[in-house]
Order: sequence, then structure tokens, then C-alpha cells
Amino acid sequence: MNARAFLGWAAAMLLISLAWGCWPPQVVTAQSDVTGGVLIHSVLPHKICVGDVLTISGAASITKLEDVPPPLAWLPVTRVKIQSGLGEVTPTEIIQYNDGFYFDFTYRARQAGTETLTLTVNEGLATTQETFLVEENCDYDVFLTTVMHFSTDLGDEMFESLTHVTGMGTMNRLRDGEVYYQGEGKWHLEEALLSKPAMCVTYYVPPLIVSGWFELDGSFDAEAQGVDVILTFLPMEGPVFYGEAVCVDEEGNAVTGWGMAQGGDPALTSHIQAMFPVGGGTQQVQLQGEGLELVQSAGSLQYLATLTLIPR
Amino acid sequence: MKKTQWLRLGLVCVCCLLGVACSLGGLVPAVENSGATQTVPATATRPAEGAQGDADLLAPARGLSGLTAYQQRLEISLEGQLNGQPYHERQVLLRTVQGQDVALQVQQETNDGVPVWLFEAQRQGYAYVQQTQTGVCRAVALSEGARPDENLAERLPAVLAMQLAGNAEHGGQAALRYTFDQQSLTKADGALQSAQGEVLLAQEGGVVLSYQLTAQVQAEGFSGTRSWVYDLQLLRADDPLPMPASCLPVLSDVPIFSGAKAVEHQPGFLAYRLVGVNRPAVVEFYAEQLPVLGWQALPGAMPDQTYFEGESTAVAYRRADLVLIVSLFERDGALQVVAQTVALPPIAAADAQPAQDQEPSTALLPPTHDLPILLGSTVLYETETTRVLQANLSLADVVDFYTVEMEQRGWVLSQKLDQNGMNVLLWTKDELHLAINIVESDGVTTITLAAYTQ
Repeated sequence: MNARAFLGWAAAMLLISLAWGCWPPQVVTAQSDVTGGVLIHSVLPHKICVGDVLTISGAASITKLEDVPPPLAWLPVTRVKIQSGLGEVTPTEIIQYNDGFYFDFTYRARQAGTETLTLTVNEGLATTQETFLVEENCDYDVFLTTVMHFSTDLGDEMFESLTHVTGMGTMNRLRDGEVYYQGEGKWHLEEALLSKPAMCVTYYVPPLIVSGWFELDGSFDAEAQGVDVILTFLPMEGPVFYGEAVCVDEEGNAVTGWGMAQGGDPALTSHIQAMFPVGGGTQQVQLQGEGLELVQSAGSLQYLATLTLIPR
Repeated sequence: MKKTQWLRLGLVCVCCLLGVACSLGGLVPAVENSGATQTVPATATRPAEGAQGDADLLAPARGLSGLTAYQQRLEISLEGQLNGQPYHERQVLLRTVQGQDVALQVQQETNDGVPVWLFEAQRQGYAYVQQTQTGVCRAVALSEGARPDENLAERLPAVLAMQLAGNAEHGGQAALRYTFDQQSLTKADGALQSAQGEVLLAQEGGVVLSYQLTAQVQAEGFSGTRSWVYDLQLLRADDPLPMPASCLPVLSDVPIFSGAKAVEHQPGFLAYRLVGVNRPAVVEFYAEQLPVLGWQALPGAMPDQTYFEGESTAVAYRRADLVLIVSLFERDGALQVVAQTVALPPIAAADAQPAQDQEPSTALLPPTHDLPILLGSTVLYETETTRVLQANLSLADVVDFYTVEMEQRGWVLSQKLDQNGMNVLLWTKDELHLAINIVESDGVTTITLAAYTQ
């Protein structure tokens, strides 16, 4: 290599090495060596209606290709722009000084039709879209499931039973200024004996079955962006089904009998109150009421209850 | 400028170029390594020309693809001044891998934004998402689209020329402890001021067990501290994948009656409609299908025990700590079928076990090897004291079976009763007492085995 060629080569190398440290770290969009990603984590409800407000979770990231694995100190400005075709999103832009972060935004359905949400990172570095149908009216089907385990010491035996309560109702959306819902449904209870009666060597006790109505009230809570649902049980109604219980004692005597159900006092009925996001779903709920407290005072009662709202 | 000066400048430039080239030479394979193939070692001996440390950590995620069950926790935080104002940001990520299933929990807070709480799991073909700690859980079939899954170790900065600082232990794993400072880190934009870090690498396999790094950063508009704290715990293959209480499993293994319309799947919830099918047919369908899948019928679930007279019918099955309830009711000219699961309520210890100074009020069933198994029978119901079976055999065949088989196991028949259509065999063996009650109805024989005390 002659001196002139070496000079040119050295100058070129100097420029390259200087350029390495001279790229502005914050101007991400101008760089061709930067890639990005944006996505929605949320699973959207199957049905979305005018007036619904959803909180949607997403994540965004940008990566400097030359520096993978990630460099230590790169703190780019990451801007996520959120746009809606028919509704309203809040906020419309999220900015963080980070190369990877999670975020939430809210979407309010303003009119019926096919909606497309578009999320864009740094002026087109990455884009994602979510398309769904917004419908004019939504009612809810409401499903209740409860499993209760009750036990109490009867002296010569430990009484133990497993009870399941199922229920189904419909909650219709009413429009009179504020958004609220009303409806009703029927509950169905079956109690099965788990413990062996002390006097029986062998036995069979069919489940005890009772049923009744429940009332539903719901209102849209703007602050919580959800539907506040109150389910109120009404006392049992109609026949009590108990079947014939058979017990054989140690001497081989077979004794038959039947279960019985007490109730009917409206003051003792239970209720459930729970907040659901629009679009519904399933969640665990608590029962409240004097009747429940009465049962709890008579023994040990453990229960788990779920309520499900499905838009229809 | 003299030729020697140019030569010196040229050498500096060559060093700069080599420095860049060396970095790229180390970093490029790591790009490949951050993917699924994991072909390049995470640690490598530093090239001789830059050998100032004992090992490089080029691909912190290396080796994880060979593990089937583990949990990663990564906390990334930023503390300092942003455009002259105090700023903090903290992201805590917990990722659990259990075979093909994976769960990610996210907690993020910044002083100028809304905190984010997010749970996402990919489990047995479904993605579950819950956005608040007490909110509802939604699910979608993974077949409807790919879901993101990032290995948290890929977010750790690469480290060059770490210094070996001795042996250590982490979660029962023998490890090598390495330390490093800012000279071991890439600093593409020149924002790095200083850094201190420590890495624990498993002695077997070289997986990153722990990683801690705190760096002082001076970037445009921001000055402060950025830190990474990473931890890896190995799990057992039978450890459960963490799921929020609201995320009951999608009932993907609950069979659906042929011809179902409007099928709705939610976590722990399945609903569909049937036209031209009555309730007994569906109860019979589930009585045939669910026991095969390990579900045990609770009283009232078998077709001849089920109550059909009311406006709705509900049958319950149990599998481990889950109760499955199938509800049936007519609606809008169709039969609505709703299947839901509820985790069995925890039974208080005081109820489950008698007090120590008291004798149990009931006897327990003998161990399985002490009881004959009636082939072709279905267990309808079982507790510690009682087991109820059903079989498509005649009453006489069942009585003969138990008479022969029990005697072969050393039991002595103390009494045999035939009263009101109910056959009762009372057996004794040492201190054990067992009653077998056999009843036949509509071609189906129900057998109740009950332990008792005298």
C-alpha cells in the first residue's frame, strides 16, 4: 500500500469509527437500523356494543439491530399512537423513555359497525390492527354456579353435605338516560349427603332438590368502566324433591325416609354484588345475607361461587 | 504530518475498527442465539486480543430451551431525572415455563403513567388473559392466532470479559460467580457512565441462574440509574402453572353433544344449544362420556337418579378438587346446555380430621388390595367410608362375585340379608367390618360398600 492509499484508507476508517459514536440516540424513527413491535395482549369480548368502555392492554418495543443483545444504556423515546375508526380511545398517544414497556388504554364504542383499532410505534416503525364488530344493543345472559361444603358435629356422627346451586337468567339493557339493566332468572339447588348416618351400616340418600327465582339489577359504572351487577335470591318456590332414602342398620333392618327443606323467609335470602367489565366474563363472587350467616353459625360452611355474564 | 504519525493514526483506526469488528464478531452470533435455535454457547472464551476476563455472556438465554420447567423473575427499573424532573419506572416480570405451557405476570409502574397489571398464560391450547388482579379472565384458542412469548433472559444486556469470583450456590444448584463493571458492557450511544454487576452461571450447563446489574446512565434528557435483577428457579415437572383464581381452565375436554349450536367457551364455562334433543338424552350422554375422562358422578347424576320434573336439571361430577356441573333447561325452543366448573371449597382441617382424643365416629374403607374389583363397574360416588358402584350385571351375578372374591381375600361372611329387594352382605376380617349393599333396578345394579364399627 502506498502512502496516498494508506492516507485515504486511514481517513475512511476514522470517519467510520467516529460515525459509530455519533448517531443521535433519541431519534429513533430516522434510523434504518431500528426495528419495533407493538401488540394487543387483551382478549376482546365476543360482543361489543355501543356505549361499552373497554380497557385494553398492549406492549411496545423497539430494538437497535446493531446492538443485539440489547445495549445497556439505550433509552429511546417510544411513542405508541392509538387510533379508532368509529369510537374513542384514551389516551391517543403513549410515550415512554424505554425500549420495551406495557400499557393500557380505554376504548369507548360510539357507533355500530366494523371497528378497527390501529396502534403505531414511532411513525410507522411497527403497526398492529384489531378489527371487531360493534353492535347497537347488548343484553346479558347470566349464569350462576355455587358449590358449598357444609359440616357439623352431631355428637355421634359428623354430618357432611355437598350442595350445588346453578342458575340462569337474562339481564336486559334499558335506556333511560343512564345505562342500566334489569332481569330475572331461576336458581336450582341440589344437596347431596356425604357422611354416613350413624345408625346405618349402609344407606342411600338421594339429593334434596329445591328451586326458586332471583332478580338481576345492573348499572354502568363510568369510573370503574364496568357493569355493577346485583343478584338477589328470592325464597324457594314450588315442590321440594327429596326421593326415598334407604338405611340398613346393623341388624339388617331397612328403614326408609326422606329429606326436608326449610325456608321461605325473604329476610334470610342471600344476594351477590359484583363488578364486571363490559363484555362480561366469569369471576368468583361472594354471597351475602342473613340466611347464609345462619347456616354458618350452625356448622362449618365453605363455598365457592362464580357468576358469568355473556353478552347476547 | 509525518508518515509515522499517519501510521500511528492508522493503527488507532485499525484498533477502532477491530474494536467494532470484535464486538460485532461477538454480538452477531448472539442474535442467532437469542432465537429458538440456541446453537451458540452463552459463554465463550474471550478472543486473545481482548482477553481481560474469564468468560463472556453473549446470549443470556442460552440453555433454557433444554429445561422443561422453570420460573424467571426480571425486574428492570429506571430512577433519575428526566428533563429536569424526578422520574422512576419499574417493571417486574414473572415468567413460568411448564413443558409446553407458559405464564407471564406483569407489574409495571411509572411516576407519570397508569400502573399496569397483566397476567397471560398459554395453557393446553388456550391463551388466558386477565388485566386486573380481581377482574375476569378471558380465553381464546391459540389456534385463532399466535400469542407473544418472550424469554426474559433475552432482555439482559450482554456482558464481555467477566471476572470469575468463586463458587456459589443458587436454588440448590452449584454455580460459578462472576463480577463485571462498565468495561464489560456495550455502550453504543455513549450514555453509560459506570456499572457494577454480578452473574451466577450454573456449573452444569452454564444457564444464567442470577444476574444483577446497576448502571449510571447519562442519556439525552435523562440521568440516573438503570438496573436489572434477574433470577431463575428450576421447577419440578408436576409443579402447577400459576394461574389467577379467576382463570379456571377452559372446558376443552368436556364433550359436546352432537349437533350443538352457538358453542361458547369461557374459562371454566361452556354453553351450547341443542334442537330436537331432550334432557334425559343429554344426561345419558354425559353419564357415558365423563367417567371415561376421569369425572366421578355425584349423587343424582346417573340417568335413573336424575330429577327431570322441574324447569331445569343439574347433574354434578367431581374430578380431584374440581366439581363440574351440567345444567339443562329449555329456552327459545331449544335445549340450553351449560357446563361450569368450580374448585371444591377447601375443607377445614378441624372438619376433615377428628380431634386427637376422640375415636373416629366412622370406620374407613379397607385398602384397595383388600377389596375385589368388579370389572365393568363405574364408581358413582366415593368417600373415605363409602363407595357406590354401578354395573350392567344382574343382582345374582354381583352377589355371587362378592361372595367368592371376598372369601378368597380372607373375609368372613357374618350375615346375609335379603329384604325389600335389597341384598346386604356383612363381612368381617380381623377388626374390619364391611357392608355390601346390592340393589337392581331397570337392569342396572347399584353396589354400596360401606365400612362400619361394631
